[in-house]
Amino acid sequence: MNRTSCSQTSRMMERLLESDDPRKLTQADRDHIETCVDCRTAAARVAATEAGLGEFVEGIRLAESPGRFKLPTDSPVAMPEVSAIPAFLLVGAFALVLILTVLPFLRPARTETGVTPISTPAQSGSGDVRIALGTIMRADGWVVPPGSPITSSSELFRCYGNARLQFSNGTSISLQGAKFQAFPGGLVLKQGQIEVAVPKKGLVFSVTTPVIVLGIRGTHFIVRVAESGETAVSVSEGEISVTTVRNEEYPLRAGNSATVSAQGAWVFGPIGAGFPSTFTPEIGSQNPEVRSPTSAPSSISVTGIGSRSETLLDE
Amino acid sequence: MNTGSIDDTQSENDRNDTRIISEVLDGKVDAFHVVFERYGPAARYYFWNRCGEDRETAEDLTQEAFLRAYRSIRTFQLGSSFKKWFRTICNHLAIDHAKSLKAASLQAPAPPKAPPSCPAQIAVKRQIIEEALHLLSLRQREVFELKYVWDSTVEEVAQILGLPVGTVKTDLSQARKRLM
Repeated sequence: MNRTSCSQTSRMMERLLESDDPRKLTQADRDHIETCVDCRTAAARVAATEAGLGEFVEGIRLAESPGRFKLPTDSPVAMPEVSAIPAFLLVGAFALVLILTVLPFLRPARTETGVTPISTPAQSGSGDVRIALGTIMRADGWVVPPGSPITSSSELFRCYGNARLQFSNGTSISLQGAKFQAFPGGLVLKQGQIEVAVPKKGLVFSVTTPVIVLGIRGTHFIVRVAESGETAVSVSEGEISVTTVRNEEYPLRAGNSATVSAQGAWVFGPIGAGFPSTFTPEIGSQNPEVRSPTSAPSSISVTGIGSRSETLLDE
Repeated sequence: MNTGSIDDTQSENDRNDTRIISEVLDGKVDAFHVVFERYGPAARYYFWNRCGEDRETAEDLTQEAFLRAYRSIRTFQLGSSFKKWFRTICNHLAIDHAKSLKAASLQAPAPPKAPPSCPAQIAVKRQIIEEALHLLSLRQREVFELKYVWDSTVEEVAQILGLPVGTVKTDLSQARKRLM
């Protein structure tokens, strides 16, 4: 029996138009449109519209396909986690490290004094990042003297007091009680404070902390990371882009400061009084066999950039 | 199969994205091309629409958006929606671009013209739909775009735009009615 006016038409239309796929009818709908012309016509109209939209989307996919994306060579994913590396690469890498790094250093380590006079840096890296000033120590306790390249991007370093890194692209980073990894395109700051000067606009450089990634646009700024990962950023010149772990991105311009909590919450404004402003690097607590020709003291208070003292909170 | 509650609520697309991003983070950086293929057209359409400009600008912004995503990939939380994360990047980029132009006329861009690279028949259909879309409110257009161009479910659209599901359904219904 065909009907010319159906009380269900508008309700069915509304339901279909609100659904993910208006062409999908329920069994009850299918049963109903068998006998109802109005509803059958309405459903057909909706389906035709949806088909047209499908063509529209296909047209966009056809017309809007962008050109090929070139993966940058200096990406932050250039440091794969050890667990993700295939076993044969691990073996190869281990052999390389053994030959180029460990063996030369073992000899001086066996000296009578127990002091490690590392005069020659490891040779395996590109040498793109050099220690310009200060004392920097590897996680295993070896001291890397000024002038040496930091050769392994995946290695964790610490600095005691003030130190400065010079990157081959002209970027210089002053460190205070910082725990970090350095690589040619940027630096991963685990804890402590750094002051970054990127010489020119357009230069690719990034700083990563536990809660943010900073994209840098030719500028001068300070980053502090507390034990919890909470990070404070203060820009003195130029502009940076801050992406938090919440996947939110914020621009930060000269004169601006912001703090990102350990949970990734963004607070724009001056760095709060609650943020640790003193960084004291712990020595020997995690590296009982620290051996340093410079006899680093067990606790150091350093003068911060500006005039504050900074303390590195132990992990 | 999925162990976490986050994974259980993920859409199939999100799960695929998460798998790909995991590969990228594991060092298989070429896998990033898969997300580029998947979201490239949507991103370019997004910039083409938002910036109301020439296709070269849309292309440049699309490349820049993927570059930003790639460089920030470590901040992406596995298990969350890559689509939402990436669209946020696109959004910020579009805002940055609009600011850089400082053009008041961008507030109400003229309906964009169908791209020349489109076959004529598709271009005409697209033009008709584009014209109809400009009769919608900004939010309705966003809902429509996310649903169709970004291939999202109603729930995903609601999540990305931070709207109640009911509101998204209403907007979607309005948009479809306009196009009928």
